[in-house]
Amino acid sequence: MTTQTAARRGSRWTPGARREIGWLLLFLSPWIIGSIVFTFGPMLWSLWLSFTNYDPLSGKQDFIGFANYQAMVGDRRFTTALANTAFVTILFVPTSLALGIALATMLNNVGGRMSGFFRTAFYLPNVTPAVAVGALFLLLLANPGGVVNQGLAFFGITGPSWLNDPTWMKPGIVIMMLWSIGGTVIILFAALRNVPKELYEAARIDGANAWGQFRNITVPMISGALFFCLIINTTATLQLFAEVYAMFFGARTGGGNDAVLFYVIYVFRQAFEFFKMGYASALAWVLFVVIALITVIQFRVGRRFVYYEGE
Amino acid sequence: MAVQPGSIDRQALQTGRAVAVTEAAEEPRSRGRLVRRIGFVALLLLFTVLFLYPFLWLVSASFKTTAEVFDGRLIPASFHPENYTNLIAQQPVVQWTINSVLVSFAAAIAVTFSSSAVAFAFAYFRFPGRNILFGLVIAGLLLPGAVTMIPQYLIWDFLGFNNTLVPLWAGNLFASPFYIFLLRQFYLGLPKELWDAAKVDGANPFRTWWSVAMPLTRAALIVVFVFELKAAWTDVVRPLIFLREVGTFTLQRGLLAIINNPSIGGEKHWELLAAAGVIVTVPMIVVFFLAQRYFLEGIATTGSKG
Amino acid sequence: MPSSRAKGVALLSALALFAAACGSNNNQAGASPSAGASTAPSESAAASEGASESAAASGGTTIDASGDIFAFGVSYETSDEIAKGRVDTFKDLYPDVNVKFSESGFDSQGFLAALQGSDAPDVVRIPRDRLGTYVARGVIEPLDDCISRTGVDLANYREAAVKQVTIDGKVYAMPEFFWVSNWLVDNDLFEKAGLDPATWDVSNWDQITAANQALLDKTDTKIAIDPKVWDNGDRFPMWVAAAGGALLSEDGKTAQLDQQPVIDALTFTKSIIDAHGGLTEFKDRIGQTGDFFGAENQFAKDLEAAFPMQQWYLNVLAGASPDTKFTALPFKTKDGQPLTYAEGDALAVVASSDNKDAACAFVTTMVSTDAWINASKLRQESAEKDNKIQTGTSTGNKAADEQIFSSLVNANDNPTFKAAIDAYVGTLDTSFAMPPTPAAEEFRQAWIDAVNKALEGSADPSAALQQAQQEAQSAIDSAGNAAP
Repeated sequence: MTTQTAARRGSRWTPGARREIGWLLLFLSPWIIGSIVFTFGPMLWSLWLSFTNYDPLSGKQDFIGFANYQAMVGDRRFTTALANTAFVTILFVPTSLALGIALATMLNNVGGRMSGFFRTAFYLPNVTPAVAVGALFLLLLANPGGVVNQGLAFFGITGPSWLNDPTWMKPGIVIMMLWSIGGTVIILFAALRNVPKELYEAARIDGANAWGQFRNITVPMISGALFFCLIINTTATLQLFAEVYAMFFGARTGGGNDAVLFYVIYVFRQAFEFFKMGYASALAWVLFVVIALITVIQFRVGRRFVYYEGE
Repeated sequence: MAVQPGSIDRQALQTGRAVAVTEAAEEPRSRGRLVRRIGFVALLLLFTVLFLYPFLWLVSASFKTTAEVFDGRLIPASFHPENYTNLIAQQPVVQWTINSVLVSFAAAIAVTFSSSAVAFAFAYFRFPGRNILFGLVIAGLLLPGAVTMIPQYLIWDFLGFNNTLVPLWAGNLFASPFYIFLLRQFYLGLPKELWDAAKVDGANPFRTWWSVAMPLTRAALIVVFVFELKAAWTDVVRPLIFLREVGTFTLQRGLLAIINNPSIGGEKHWELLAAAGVIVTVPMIVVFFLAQRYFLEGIATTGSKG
Repeated sequence: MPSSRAKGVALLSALALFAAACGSNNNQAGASPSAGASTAPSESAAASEGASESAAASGGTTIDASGDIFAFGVSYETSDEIAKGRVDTFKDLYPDVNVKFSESGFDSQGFLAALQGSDAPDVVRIPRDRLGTYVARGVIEPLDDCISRTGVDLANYREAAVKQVTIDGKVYAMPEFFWVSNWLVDNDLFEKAGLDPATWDVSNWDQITAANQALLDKTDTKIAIDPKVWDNGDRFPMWVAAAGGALLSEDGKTAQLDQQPVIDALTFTKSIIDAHGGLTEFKDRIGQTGDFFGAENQFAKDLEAAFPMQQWYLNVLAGASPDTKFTALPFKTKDGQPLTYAEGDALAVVASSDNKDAACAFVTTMVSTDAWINASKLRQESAEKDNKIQTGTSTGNKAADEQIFSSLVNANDNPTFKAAIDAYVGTLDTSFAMPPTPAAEEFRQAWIDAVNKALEGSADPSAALQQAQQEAQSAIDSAGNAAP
């Protein structure tokens, strides 16, 4: 509008344009200050820290080049944390999408008042604080007394020790995460509702069966929402922290937690328990790069499959 | 690689009418369809039980004795409301609740107004580099919290707010990329004639934002408000990093302390842990039921694309 | 996590009896029992009155101190007589000093936040085996000057504890508590298994294995013998010492994790746990051994037969189940010598404190003989009032211990507790402690990880320990240099 035209017209801005710029800056100022002070500033600062041996207790801060990044190669716990995080992501993300789409499809078929009730019920776990979720699942996953194993026993299955057996601790955490799947269901349900019914009519006339309709109409039509859930669930899982920290990393927990040492927990411990903020910053940057890479790949692949209206 | 802007059920939100769930996609036409629908309802009911049973179990456990927690009964064999009074006597739960309420409301109010202002600027003003700048907003969205965690800690420390409640909410004065993104969609959806009309009336941008844009997007602002209220209430990372004295804890940090400190709950005093879990959870459930449609519609909105 | 961590949970009322004292270093999941118990304020007031008279006599001299100090890792309001009585002694001696307490146990992250905060701590209480990390970073003030000014005689403190707070010839903290560990044996279960605690030779590891097996075979106990080495590591250093080794060289500079005695100790304790069906099964069963701090504890319910445990636990048993029959036996080396691992806390002055005089006064007074005696008298009074057994607190201060264990304990003619109290007192002089190291946190993490890895079977003991040795040694070598 005026700003732009005025700016183009000459090197001197009219008083009106100047005022306009003032207003613009005023409105943008929260974000400008915020991103400099709390986002991009810290980002660069942490990049700098990752090349130092910064120790907040002694105040020491020397430039040590890539030593932190090199140290990761020989760091057993780094590898463990990475592997644990990858394991849970690979287990959780596809399961959450599959279960989410199944529940959303059922909701869409049921429709009416009832779907409103179910939606509410499914979303309730999402408003439960992470620490409370952790505390709750410490109780639910207990062996042998916990609800989960009691439920399994009802079907004659002897449940594993979800909290003590290193093989089953991660699957136990995935169960916990699946409990909070409500957000995914609601997003997918909203997308399903927007699929035009005529498409199904036409498909039915062409003789497509239920699976064919699902595969050829439903999935492409909600691919945008599916893709969104894929990205959100992936990044969230890669940054898993609070629930697991509450469950397994008490103030004085010693070992036994390697099976549930997730990446952000490791970053946190290095920074705030071992005071190696330089190393922790390097770890955080590696996570950033990993997340960025995965997101780019997902977008690249997604572009081929995601159907956007109006394209 | 910007996230596709979300299209929002603006009509529903702006007019504030109750969210009416659309009728079933298809009317059941045949017996087969009816049977399928009944099957779906049954399955959904089963999942409802799976989702809700843990809550009931938690509430039930919070009224039991230690020995009864794992007895498999949903109705406690004996009823012990004193678990709650014991817990409150042991720990400054009331103070924690006050802290949590203060922090959550401050965080939600701050982020709602600041994000609205920034979002409005992106919709109202046209200026060179607008899209690039907005791209930067989105980029901030993708940055993992772990990267900024340490410097943010050092900054608040430098400002002298370490070990206070301030870092838990004051960052929200500077808007949040996610909400800027969300609200911008709403402002872009308002007809441009509104701005022009306001200008003709001699309204400056502030007045236009405050008296025209804000009231028209009230529902969207409530979405932002309740989302952040929930986020701030449930956050434990910042309280964990910034708070150290028991009296300054929020409820979540306090619950973590209870889990970790075996002399109160933790370990084998499951009933106290359960009671603490109920205390931290119930306020959010109440908020959820009060603002249900905003939560659900807001969530659905974030996932849909333009 | 019914069992993923140690069984500890203190409780509510019964806890009121047991020392705030368990220090944050007890094995029960690192319960920092400082919180949880409470005493009527009036009692503490009474105690402090007696304090002032004899204060100068044995606690050294008072120094000029006033103003505010902040003590991190120390509780007062939420604490018991042993903490309150000593704080009140201090308040009485130094009425011009105003102390604020964090009312929480020590945790490294909280301490870091506190140090950077506007109101940084002047005093900190840290488990002794973790002190080195903070000394190496210059966070802790040496106490030599403070000690000479207050006239504290370090010879009055137990040698093993003083060694732990002495780094490169300088004393950095006052030792607080001296938790030695003995075997605690459930008489009923032993009898059912055809065993006799009196003749059970714990220096013979074959006998330990045999007892473990007999208990598992012949009784319904959930846990036969718990070596107390899983999760937090707990008594593992004591097992290593029993095998004739040490995790760390005396000077704290050389890790010795891959030496044969360490491997032997790990292999053996693993075999005891494996006899229960592996670590997972073992931990699940630990979760079912009753309420460690309550009347329904493992001894009262015959759910756990024997484990090495710290001294403070006697007082818990005395309060929770005074009629239980159990036996305390000295822990022994393989060549038959009694030996015990001493743990406890350190009270230190923070280097950045702006009121070091008051901080110095606080850390020295809190562990002075008078303070301990005042606190113990308080405890005894309240125990007498409730007609309860009082087992005493081992303080790390020899003069205090002497008085406490000669005149301030009361077994109420209960032979079980009388014998147990004596057994523990008898082992105070056979103790060793972990030498201080600048890489204390990393060192601890390394060996604890190795122990757990071996226990859960993901690596064999010697391989796990070899890897831990490398990690620990490189952490020690680069300590003070924050690069990994």
